[in-house]
Amino acid sequence: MLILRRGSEDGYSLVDAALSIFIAGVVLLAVCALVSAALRFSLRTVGKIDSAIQTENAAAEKVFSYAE
Amino acid sequence: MRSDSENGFTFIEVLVSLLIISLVGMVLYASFSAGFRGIEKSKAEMRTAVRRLQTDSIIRSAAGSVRIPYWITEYEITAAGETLEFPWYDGEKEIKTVRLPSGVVIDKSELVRKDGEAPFGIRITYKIGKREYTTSAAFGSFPAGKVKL
Repeated sequence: MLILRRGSEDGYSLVDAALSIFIAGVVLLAVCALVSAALRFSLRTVGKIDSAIQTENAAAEKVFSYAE
Repeated sequence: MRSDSENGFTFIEVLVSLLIISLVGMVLYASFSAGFRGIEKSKAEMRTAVRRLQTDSIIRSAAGSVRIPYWITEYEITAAGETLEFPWYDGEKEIKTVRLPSGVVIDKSELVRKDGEAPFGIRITYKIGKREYTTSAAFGSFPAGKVKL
């Protein structure tokens, strides 16, 4: 079994396997980071919309309280 | 089963490789699945938020265009399903029907008023899915409704 030698014609080595797993891990991390960023962005947008509507409602309620 | 070979993999090596591949596969599947679920949830949240923003904007803009003369004290709006009917829209006596975005259901509507005076605003409670939201908006005639011209 080849362990350390790379580029051999005999087959893959442990280094090749470790490299493949490392690349898979990096890709996984990148995908997770992308998904997490998208979720954070959407949550922030929803929060902004909510806060804008709350501000408008509070302004209207203030006007109502002056009139009542 | 050979313990060592230069021509191929041993049985143990194949087993260990399969184990590692299946573990990595499971982790990848779980992560992608959680990611897709999260994306679907976030899409639904965004859709609701956009619908809410549209609804709020439509109600607020319609209320802002309602100009009720100060002597009109008997004033009612009709709210049913996805539609709202405002008399005295743009200062005209005719009723204006305002349609809310699809999927929005009006739960209740309340006029904000003082006895013997024209109403000065509305509070509309509506549902998008199972969630309930409220929009409070002053009528365009509000200051004029208070001041007798």
